[in-house]
Amino acid sequence: MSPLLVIGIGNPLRGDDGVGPRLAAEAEALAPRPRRGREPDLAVRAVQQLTPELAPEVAEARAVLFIDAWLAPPTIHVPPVGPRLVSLGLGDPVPLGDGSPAMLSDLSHHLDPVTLLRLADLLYSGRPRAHELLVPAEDFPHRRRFSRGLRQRLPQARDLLSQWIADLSPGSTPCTS
Amino acid sequence: MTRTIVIDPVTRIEGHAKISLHLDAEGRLQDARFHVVEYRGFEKFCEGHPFTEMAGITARICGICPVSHLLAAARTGDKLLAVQIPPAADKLRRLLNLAQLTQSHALSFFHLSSPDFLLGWECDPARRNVFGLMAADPDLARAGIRLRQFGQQILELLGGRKIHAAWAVPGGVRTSLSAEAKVWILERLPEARATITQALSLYKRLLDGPLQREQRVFGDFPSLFLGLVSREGRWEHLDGVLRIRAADGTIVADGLCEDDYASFLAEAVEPWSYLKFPYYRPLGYPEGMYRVGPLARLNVCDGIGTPWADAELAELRARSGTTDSGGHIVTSSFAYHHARLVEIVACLEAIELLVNDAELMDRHTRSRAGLNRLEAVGVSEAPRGTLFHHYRVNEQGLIERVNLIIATGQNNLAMNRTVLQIAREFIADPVAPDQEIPEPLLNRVEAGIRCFDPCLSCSTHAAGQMPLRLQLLAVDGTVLAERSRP
Repeated sequence: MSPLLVIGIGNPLRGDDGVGPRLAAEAEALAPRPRRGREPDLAVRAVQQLTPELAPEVAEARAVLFIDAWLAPPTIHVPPVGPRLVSLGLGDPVPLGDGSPAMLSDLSHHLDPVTLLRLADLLYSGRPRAHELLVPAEDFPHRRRFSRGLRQRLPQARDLLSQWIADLSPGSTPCTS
Repeated sequence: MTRTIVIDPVTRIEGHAKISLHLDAEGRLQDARFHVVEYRGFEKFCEGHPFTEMAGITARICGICPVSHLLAAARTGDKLLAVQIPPAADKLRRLLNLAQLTQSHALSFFHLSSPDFLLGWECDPARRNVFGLMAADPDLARAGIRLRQFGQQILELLGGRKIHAAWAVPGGVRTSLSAEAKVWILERLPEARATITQALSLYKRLLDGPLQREQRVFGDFPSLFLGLVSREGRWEHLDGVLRIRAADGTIVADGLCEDDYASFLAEAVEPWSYLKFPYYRPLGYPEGMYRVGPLARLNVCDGIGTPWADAELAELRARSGTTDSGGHIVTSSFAYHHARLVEIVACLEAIELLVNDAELMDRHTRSRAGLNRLEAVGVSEAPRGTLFHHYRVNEQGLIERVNLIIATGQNNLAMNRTVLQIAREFIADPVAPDQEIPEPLLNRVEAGIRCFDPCLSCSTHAAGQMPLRLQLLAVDGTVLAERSRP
């Protein structure tokens, strides 16, 4: 069976931006231990940004979780929210050419998750189930420490990560979020 | 009335930036400014850390070229220890940098710039992207990913998946190359060669056809070029000496040591950008403008030293070299694209030579010593150009001061000049107050910046995205006209 893939996105030296790599590193410990002689069922990547060569790996996974810091747009009033696990589709959030921000980033040095999923689909015929764990973040200075707000949200983010792994591991009920 | 056209931000590069085109009272294009609008804080962040951590810290500056900072930091650390690293370590570092150059150039050519070349400047921006490229030539898109993957995989074979964990350290490297890794590299080399052969063939066809005008007007102007060369004057990317060559082919300075960079380079600052403006000190600012990166490396060297790459370099010079320089120097910034492909060829040949070198597999990869100097400068050639790290430490080895001179900064003046030349070619001059700027022209201005494949991660953090915005501003800041696009 193809593995689960967790990709933590962010820079650990930029404050809250490092939450993706932090949780990705913790994901390995949360996964069920493989039976002797078996490959681990969970692959983990910690990257500063998404790049095209991840597409084949994404295509081979049976499910992918992207973990990223989420900064609410400053022009929109957003009430305080906790970490959220959202499903990613290939077409619905950012249709091609609709002028969405994700469309912009597909030609930058970094890709957004949906663009990477599309690359995996179109070039490698892989359509894993995909989710994004968004952790509300507020502060991106040059430092290793998270903001107080993010530290308070970490336990809930870990729970969501654990839930995702458990739901998609063999013998469990599929993730429904 | 003086007006300003602002393009904000530039797409397909790292971080946040904008371009403003400044008009004089008659509405003629007078100046171009490539703005970087976020504070660069890494130099300050480094203060107080042990110099031995600098490789790991500075590798975090950029997600695209962490290896460049890793190597520059390690080389600066070598000097603080005052050691000569073991031959195997030098070769392993070289292998790492060659892989880095390959994967970074592959990303630039296949995924960032090819949509412009293959789909055309007039193509709807909704289709002029990697998906449009996939629709037009899926095999090329896939081959580009495989080539980048080849370089990336070598980085992982050497440094592990967590390349940021500072595999290159002061005194050498942490681990050697395994026999399995050597086999993997040799097995994948033919495919990488085939991919770059295909890309070169395609690019040359485009140069002979639809890209002729771009070659002429995308930043074709005389400037100095700076880069490392070997002590024999050949193409170099990690060791050697610095050489500066003028547009007529004259060697302006040679055998320069990075330790003395402050004697021949200076950095200007402008109030409208956080990116510094390095220049060649003897010519002053801004006359001392110079370019670094793939094109500069090929311009400053006498040759590459491997047969295929030398043949490709000769063809690049024959196609694009200026008459003034006897065909030796290529002055069009558009030729950076071609130079990247030639450098990939050079990298593949050098990788093959290195991997077959028995000394590479030597297990002695690190020289150990205590702190022996309190100040040092290290240099390496990053994909985008020459990278300097300058550290001053205290007796405990803690960083007191850091200065990083990054490639994108060194190309800053040339990027502005490139944008101005493109704008003068494609935007009506003088600009009428109510003139609309068509989107394909905007893309050409941005494409001028993309020739340099700038990476602003050293100075910025992409916390969110902004739409592209074009503004026509009066001198008092009044918006006379505005155009947005996603």
